Amino acid sequence: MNQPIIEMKGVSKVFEIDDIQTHALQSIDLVVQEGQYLSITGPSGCGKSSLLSIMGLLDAPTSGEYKIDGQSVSSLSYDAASKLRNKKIGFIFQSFNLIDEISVFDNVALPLRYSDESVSSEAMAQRVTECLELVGLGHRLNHKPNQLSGGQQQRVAIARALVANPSVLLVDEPTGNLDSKSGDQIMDILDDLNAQGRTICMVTHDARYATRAKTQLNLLDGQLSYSEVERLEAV
Amino acid sequence: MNMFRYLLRVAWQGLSNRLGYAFSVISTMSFTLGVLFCTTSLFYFLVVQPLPYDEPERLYKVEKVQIDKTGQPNVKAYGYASLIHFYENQDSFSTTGIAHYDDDVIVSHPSQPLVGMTYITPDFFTTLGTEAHLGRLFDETEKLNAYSPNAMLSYDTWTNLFNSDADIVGKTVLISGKSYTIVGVVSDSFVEPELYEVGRKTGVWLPWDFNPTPENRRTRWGDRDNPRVFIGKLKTSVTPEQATQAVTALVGRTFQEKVAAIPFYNGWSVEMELNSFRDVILGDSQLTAYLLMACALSMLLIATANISNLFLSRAFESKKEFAIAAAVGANMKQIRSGIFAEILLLLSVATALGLLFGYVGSELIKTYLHDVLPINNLGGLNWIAVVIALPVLLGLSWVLALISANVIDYGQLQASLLSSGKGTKAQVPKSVRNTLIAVQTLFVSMLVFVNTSFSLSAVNAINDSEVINTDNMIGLSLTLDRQKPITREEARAWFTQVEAELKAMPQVERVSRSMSPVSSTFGTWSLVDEASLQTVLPEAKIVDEEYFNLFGQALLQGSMFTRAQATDYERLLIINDVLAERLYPNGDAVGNRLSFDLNREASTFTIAGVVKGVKMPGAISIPPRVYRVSKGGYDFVIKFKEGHSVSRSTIKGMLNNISSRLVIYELEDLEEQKFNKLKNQYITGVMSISLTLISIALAALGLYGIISYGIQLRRSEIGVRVSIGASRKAIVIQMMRDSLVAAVVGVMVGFVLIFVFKNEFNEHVQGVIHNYWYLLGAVTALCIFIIALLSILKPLRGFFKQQPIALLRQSDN
Repeated sequence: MNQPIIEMKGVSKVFEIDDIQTHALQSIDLVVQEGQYLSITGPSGCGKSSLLSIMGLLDAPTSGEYKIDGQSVSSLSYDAASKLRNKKIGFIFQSFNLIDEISVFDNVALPLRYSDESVSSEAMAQRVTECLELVGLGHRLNHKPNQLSGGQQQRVAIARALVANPSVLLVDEPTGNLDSKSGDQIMDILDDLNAQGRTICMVTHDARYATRAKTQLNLLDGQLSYSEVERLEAV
Repeated sequence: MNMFRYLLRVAWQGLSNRLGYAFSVISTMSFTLGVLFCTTSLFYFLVVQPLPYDEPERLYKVEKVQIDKTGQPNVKAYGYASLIHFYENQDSFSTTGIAHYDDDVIVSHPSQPLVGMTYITPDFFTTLGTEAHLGRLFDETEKLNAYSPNAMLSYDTWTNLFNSDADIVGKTVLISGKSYTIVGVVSDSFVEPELYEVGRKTGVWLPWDFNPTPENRRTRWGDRDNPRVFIGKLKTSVTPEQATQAVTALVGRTFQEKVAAIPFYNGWSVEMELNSFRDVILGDSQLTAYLLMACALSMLLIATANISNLFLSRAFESKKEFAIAAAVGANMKQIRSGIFAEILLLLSVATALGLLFGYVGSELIKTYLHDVLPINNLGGLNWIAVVIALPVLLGLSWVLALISANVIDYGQLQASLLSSGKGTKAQVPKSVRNTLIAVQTLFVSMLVFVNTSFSLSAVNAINDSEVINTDNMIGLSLTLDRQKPITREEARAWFTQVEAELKAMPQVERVSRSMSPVSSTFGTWSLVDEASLQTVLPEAKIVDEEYFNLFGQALLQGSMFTRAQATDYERLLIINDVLAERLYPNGDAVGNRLSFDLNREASTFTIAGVVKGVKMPGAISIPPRVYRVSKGGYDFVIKFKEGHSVSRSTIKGMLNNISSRLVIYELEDLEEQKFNKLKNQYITGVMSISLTLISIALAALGLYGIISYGIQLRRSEIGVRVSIGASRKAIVIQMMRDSLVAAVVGVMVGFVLIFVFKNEFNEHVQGVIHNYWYLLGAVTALCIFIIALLSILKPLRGFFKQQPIALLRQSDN
């Protein structure tokens, strides 16, 4: 039996602006097992990104309980949350969020540099190269992000997400800024990663890509409208 | 016009979301423009404004420079007879006037005030183009040798001492036992030229004939006292160079003829100096004005660099908006106009505040520095400042808009819009960011260092421990009402009693019957050492036995004067260590003899002791000095016990008890006199400390602006770093490394430039670059480091208070 990586119970998120409360998430119960490939779809503004931010410890829930790898994260300090993020979570953003002024290598190596565990230069170089080769960019180590195409930048972001060997990849609209060909390539990589045992939670509004996940959730007005539906095996 | 109004509205909306940025720009520029406007006004009054006299560019003060036998200028002074001869025989000036400056008591006035008396020939006023407010000016009636006992009052004396008495003409004033009839009051608009000393004002004008020069000195050609001034209006056909030659020939010839027989002047010569009124009246203040103007312009340059850095960062930040504008059809000119509108809006507010600061600064200068500046008609904020404000505002706005717009590549705007979302939003490139910080700290470190150094040098001059101690002391000079004859014995007895009564006062610690060395000038004696026959020209003073104890001058060799020696007028001298070192570098000075004339025993004096030399306030070195013992005359220096003093009325009452004919001639706080002598240092100190504080404020604002704004622009990058696991410490270290490396490079380049400058121009920067420059450099660097650190921590603290997603979300907007 696979271990639960993410466990959410009664998680809500309320935004309050000028005394007006907006319920982004309402009492979400969710369990993500190790090795699971999960997609969350829904219309714009339904709370997809809020859910992913809470999963990734980038935001705190208003109420509810949340555990990663069995560890409760409801009351973690700023730095403890950073540490956990560094160790357990790999992010892939819609807008890539690479740092323009450092090289592809340094972008990918960042999580290792922020890690508590000391990593030798050689080990770091080896790991970064491995990850970049995995996404087909082993030859672009010294390029700057703005010298790459959108699809290539997203692949660098995937390499960066993988480099610290996290427990789960949180993926936010990975193809949102890409043409369909590049989007397909990215999705292929994600499929491969899942096939290798990576746990993936992906937010997308593109039903075509959502269906590639084995587990699909639909979020509407802050509530999960239905629970797990096993993905049909592709013909 | 509608378009520009729209652009201003958009700029206003944009700025209301960037209050920190707007504050940095407005505060930096308003401070700087305030200083610029204030300095420009002062510069106008000191350098540009025409002097308020008839044809001022042709007015000269002519001085007689006596050159000693070594070829060095020794003293600027006219012998009385020499001045009269020059006045009566010169041919280079169309009109001339001579004046003798003194102070005296108006005995007939109930308060017996001491006022400035100036004894003039009638053409003194004609030369200046002066008018009378009441009555008439001096005319032929008061010409040389007419001995008409008439007087004119200054407008201030008339209003303050005579309550603006409309019937003053025809009334009399009693001065030094002589009654003068008032013939007029000088016009209110007359600004007395400060030809004699800064801050000196005449209260009563008297005919030249009555000047206090004793009859026996009126025939002297080689006098060394210098209370006399010659002014003249140069003939239109004569150049200053021609006039200098002509008057040097005239005065030099008579000098050689008349002083040849005096041994003291053997080998001496004369050179005449024509100094324009502007140079005489404004003196070093003109240089100060130029220096201040240079500082203000440097500050404007630095402030402009500060805010151009901010504008550049802002332009980078706004690239997305520019791209959207370009996408909907805006051309480059329209995009530039948008930038110009925002900059104009910011600088308009800064200029308005700058005018306000300039006004406040000018009023402060007018109030607090009026007495130490050499002009009587100092105004507040000048119209020139207001007039230059508009072109400065528009010019700066336009230049800065051009610089900011320069970062925009119109061709790339649309492409960048199409690919928006690619990369991590608009960031100021690292190289640009670092260059901005480095340039900023380079300018700042140099400015702060030089200004701080300048301030410390001025403060050191003021607090120089070698300067004579005048704490808790007053100088008292007495005179006698000589309406009735007074015998010498009678006067001596009165003064002896005054001394005794002063010493008996419980508030008094010590009394010396000597003239204050601060208010009175030292004489120059020509003495020959009997053993070596070496001639020296030390400064000289006649003092009593209490003098050295009073001023705390320590005895280094021999003994102090005694009361008995003073009473017997023994031919004894005490010299200072500077003179002792010069005359007797290897031996004991005590017992040696110095003489005015080795052939006359009565002119030969024995050295009784050597005292530690003291500097006079404002002097840069201690000259050789000699003191002769005497039991004293009309002058007293009184030292009070700590926390005590005695009022003028108490002293007046004490004098009246002794004799009603004893009159206070002068009663002055020696600390005030010391302050007057240190005016230049105080002006420099106050100005440079003000500029230093403003520089540091500007430095802090500029550095804070560029670093903190730069970090705010890295919000999305910081969000990314946090999202992949960076701790707060890691982010702080990263930001410090990025910002401080550039700052350190800037500071180091700044110090290298200062070091090179100091080595190249060491002689010229003595007193400007402080001796402990390396320590000062370290303090400057530390200040910059602290400012940089705060600039980094402040915005980061704000970031860390938010959830990491907020950094990523806001950067998407």
